Amino acid sequence: MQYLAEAYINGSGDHRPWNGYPIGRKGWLTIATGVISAGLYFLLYHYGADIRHLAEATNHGDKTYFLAPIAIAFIFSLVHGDFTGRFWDSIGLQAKD
Amino acid sequence: MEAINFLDLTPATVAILFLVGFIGGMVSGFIGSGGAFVLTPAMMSLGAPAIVAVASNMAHKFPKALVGSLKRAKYGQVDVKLGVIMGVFAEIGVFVGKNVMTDIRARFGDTGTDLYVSAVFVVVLAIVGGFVLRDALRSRHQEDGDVAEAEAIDRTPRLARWVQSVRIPGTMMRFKSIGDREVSILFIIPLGFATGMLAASIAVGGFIGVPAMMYVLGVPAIMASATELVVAFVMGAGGSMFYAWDGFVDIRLSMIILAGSLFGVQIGAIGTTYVKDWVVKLIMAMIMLIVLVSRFFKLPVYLSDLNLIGTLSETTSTLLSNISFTTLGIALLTGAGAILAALVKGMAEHRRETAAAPLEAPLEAAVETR
Repeated sequence: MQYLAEAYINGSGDHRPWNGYPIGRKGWLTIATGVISAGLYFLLYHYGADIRHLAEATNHGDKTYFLAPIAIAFIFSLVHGDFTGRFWDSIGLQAKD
Repeated sequence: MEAINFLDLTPATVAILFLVGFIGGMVSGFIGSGGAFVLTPAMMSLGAPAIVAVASNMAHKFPKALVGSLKRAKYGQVDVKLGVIMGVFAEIGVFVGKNVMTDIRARFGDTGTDLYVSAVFVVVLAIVGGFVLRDALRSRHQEDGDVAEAEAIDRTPRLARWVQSVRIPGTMMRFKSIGDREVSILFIIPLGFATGMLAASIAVGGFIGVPAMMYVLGVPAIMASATELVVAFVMGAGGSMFYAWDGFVDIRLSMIILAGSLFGVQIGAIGTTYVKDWVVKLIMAMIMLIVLVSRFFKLPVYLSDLNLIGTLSETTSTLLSNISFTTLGIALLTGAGAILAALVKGMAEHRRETAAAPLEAPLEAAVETR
């Protein structure tokens, strides 16, 4: 938590308190992308059976939605990739210069 | 055609997939390839047919490769030109490899592809793993001695020096990753094709791509592993479409693994900036050789199922499957442990160096972060 606090104090200068720890603009963006990512995973879970049927239909010759998995992969990786990058950054894990 | 057997996703399966994805991603970000070489066997061990495991792996891998390559491009480790050229020829290899897989499945069913994928794993891991281990130990040994000499040998292996010396008019291309020297595209075409062929067979093209760039073209290990992410993206996008056309991609499986692996790939990529080249090679070799043992134990089970050897008893089959699964777990945990240890050690050293540096340096760094 020490890194978290330092990152936000040094990173943005925004000292708004949140549960006793300062959360800056970068912190809120991390949380926001995390929430969107979690929402996408909820949808994936909710429509899991339909997605499975789509794959089976594609296998049986209906190619209408064959690109659906690729589109899903792209959306998830962009959103979740953005979140995970921000997540590690926010807890102080950064590459060596 | 045989119906596709997708995994039933129980909470336990989801948790295991997430964890395996995390470790696989970490390995992938660290060595530039191989996320899938632990993930494909892991999915197979959980009950997914090989063709679904390979297809789903490709689908989760190419967007992850995009994220990883963008990250490592920031560190100046990526040769985009080499990556795209190899990726285009890899695409042709993927197309051929995918057709081989679907043909085997049509003739011998899922067990046929299981055997094919496992056998390819064992052979490739034995060759590449052994080669990388020898090189890692040699690089480490040389580093203890004459540093300048070690670096010279490390940067340009003998084969690469010969490849770079061959001049074929009209085919020469210049690449920044080999010190702005030229190499004939005729050497890159077969390397790209083989990388794609292997990617379509086991979802891990990097086993050929990374060593090929290092030892045949003379690309430094860190840059080779980063450039492989570009290759993986280009061929993975195409390969996923080939497999998606036949409905073999279980995107639920892919995305759960992606959830864990995107956390891991970032740690792996950050880890590379803290360690020496030979450490990357040593960890790569170690994981490869343990996974080899894991797949090896599974071969008799598939051979028996296809009646190619005498039928194994139920107890023997279960025992071999359990040994295979446990060995895979050991590979994952030791790989993750080694990467984390290297990262923590590297970060601690960096922090000590920063603390010992003059006061101006951290002040400048602090200003830059604002």
